[in-house]
Amino acid sequence: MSTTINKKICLLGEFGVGKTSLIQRFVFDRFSDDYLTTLGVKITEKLMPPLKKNRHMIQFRFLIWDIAGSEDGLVKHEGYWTGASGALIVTDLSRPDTITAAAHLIDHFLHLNAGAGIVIAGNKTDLIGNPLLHSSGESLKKLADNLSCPSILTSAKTGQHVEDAFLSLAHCLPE
Amino acid sequence: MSIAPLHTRILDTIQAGWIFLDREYRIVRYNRQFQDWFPELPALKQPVVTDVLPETVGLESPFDDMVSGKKPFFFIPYIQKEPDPGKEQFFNLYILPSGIEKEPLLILMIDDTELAAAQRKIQQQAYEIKLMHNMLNMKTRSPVQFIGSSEPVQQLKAMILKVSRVGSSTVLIQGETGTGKSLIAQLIHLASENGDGPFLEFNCAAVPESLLESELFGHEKGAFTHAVAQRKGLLEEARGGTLFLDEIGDIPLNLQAKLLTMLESRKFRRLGSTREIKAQFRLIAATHRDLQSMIREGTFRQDLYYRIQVVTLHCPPLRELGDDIMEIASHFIHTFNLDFKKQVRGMNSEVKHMLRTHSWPGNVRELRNVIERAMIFTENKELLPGDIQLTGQGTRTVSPAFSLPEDGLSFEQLEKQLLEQALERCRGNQSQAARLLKMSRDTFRYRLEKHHMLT
Repeated sequence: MSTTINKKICLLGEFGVGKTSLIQRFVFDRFSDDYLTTLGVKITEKLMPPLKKNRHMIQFRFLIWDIAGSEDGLVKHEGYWTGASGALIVTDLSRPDTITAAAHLIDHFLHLNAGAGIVIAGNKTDLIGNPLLHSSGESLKKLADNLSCPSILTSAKTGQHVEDAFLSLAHCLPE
Repeated sequence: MSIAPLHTRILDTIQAGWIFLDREYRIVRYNRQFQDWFPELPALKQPVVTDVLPETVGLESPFDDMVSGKKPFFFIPYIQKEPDPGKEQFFNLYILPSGIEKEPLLILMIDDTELAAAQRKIQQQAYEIKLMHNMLNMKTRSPVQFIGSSEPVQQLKAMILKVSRVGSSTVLIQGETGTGKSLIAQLIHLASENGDGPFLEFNCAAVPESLLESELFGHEKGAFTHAVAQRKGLLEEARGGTLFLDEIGDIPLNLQAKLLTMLESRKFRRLGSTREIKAQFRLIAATHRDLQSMIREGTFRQDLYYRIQVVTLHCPPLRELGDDIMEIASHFIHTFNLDFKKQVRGMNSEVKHMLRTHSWPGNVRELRNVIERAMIFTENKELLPGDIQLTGQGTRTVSPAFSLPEDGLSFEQLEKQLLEQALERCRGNQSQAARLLKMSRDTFRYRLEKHHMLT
């Protein structure tokens, strides 16, 4: 028998990196090519599969906060970030500047939520074959290595590794 | 009258949903507006606030701080909710101490949909433009590259690298139409010391003869009838960079002489001017024409030819590039995936065979067009034969393996005939003839010598 625990999870990143698309793919298994900007925050629930933590079976109910991105990636509003157990930091592999901005973002987020779990997603791998994606992937890995947190390459469009990103975050969360 | 009802009455004067929380953060009171938004509320018996407002999950610490007076309020702007499918509402959530002992926290929920919708509209337009700009940027940031790993391409890449290191040398690029002469010129430019300088490309065949001189050399105001203002020419604009003159074979003879003088003296004058200007650029010329034949015909100056062919690069035709054709086709598939927002992952084996056996008279340009057309119309995950439309005249018949005649043949005779035919097809150009027979120029010359064909 597992216990269900509500966890606030933030999706953070610059505008247009695909935060909403990742949630849509993960929760509803759907995708749209049309870009619709997020204003403020939209919360979506998802019951995660049970997992074993410290010899106990637990089940997280993710309250996924899809927080509007900004040009510098920092919607610093305390109201959005406070009380989060973890964050999926989303970057766009076709925009190297979104990876650079992620470091700043993580710093601010952890300042407000010490001990929170972090996973960095390099989204839009569907833009296959572009030489830029290779170098962006390397930058992303470097950033994740520096912060000792997992990184994962995703595509909300094809669904590639989207579930893995959220599962990976579930494993990183404090109990 | 107790304080609590006064609170209630004041709160009811503002258009907001409100709830009071007890010390365990259970909802103990709420107003009609709040109930309208959460109709299930009456059925729940003093629910914990997080069960009704998931926005408050994880906020125990700020709640405690407000109850103890350490924090004045907590604010969450623009919470997007969808009470009915397709109906979006935006709420601002204010959490603040109530001052009431048993109901210490008050949450106000205010509908701000109208303002949010307007703000979102503005944001949507701004971000869309930025994303489109980024998409364009991504394409231009992608390094200019000459795709392929076949022997001819490898040799060409090595030569490009060597040539780019010598900044001042004039380069002549020869090759059939559509083989990528412009791309080679760009690569030489980008790899050279002046790579940050301008790269100007000019097709000499695309401009009427009467305008050509002014385009290249520029003019002073009044130099000719329509010269209403002074204008710099390409030779001047290319300062510190590279001028790429495509189809140089189309320049008229009189202008060829002027171009030669400029190359010799590294100086030129604008039309109508007496002031000499220093020519500070690298010239790269290209043509699909056989300049040597043109020299024989008297339509191209021999001295200019020798001046511009300090280094000559040959662009191999696509049909000679073997499996590079697949690599180039894959590159175009990627490019058009971006352009057309598609997810085509490649081509099936039949398509590969079609591309490999086509003779590609239009070279890479033709291949690009074939892939572009296929990418526009395909609905498949990979390109299938039905997606590919090749022009009939380009279909290359793959020769059957050569078989020895029953009565045998003279190998020496056959070799000589092959050498003759290759030379004839390449109009005497030994390098091209050697490539046609898939051998080095030295080997070709050795065999010519063997057959006393070397002139």
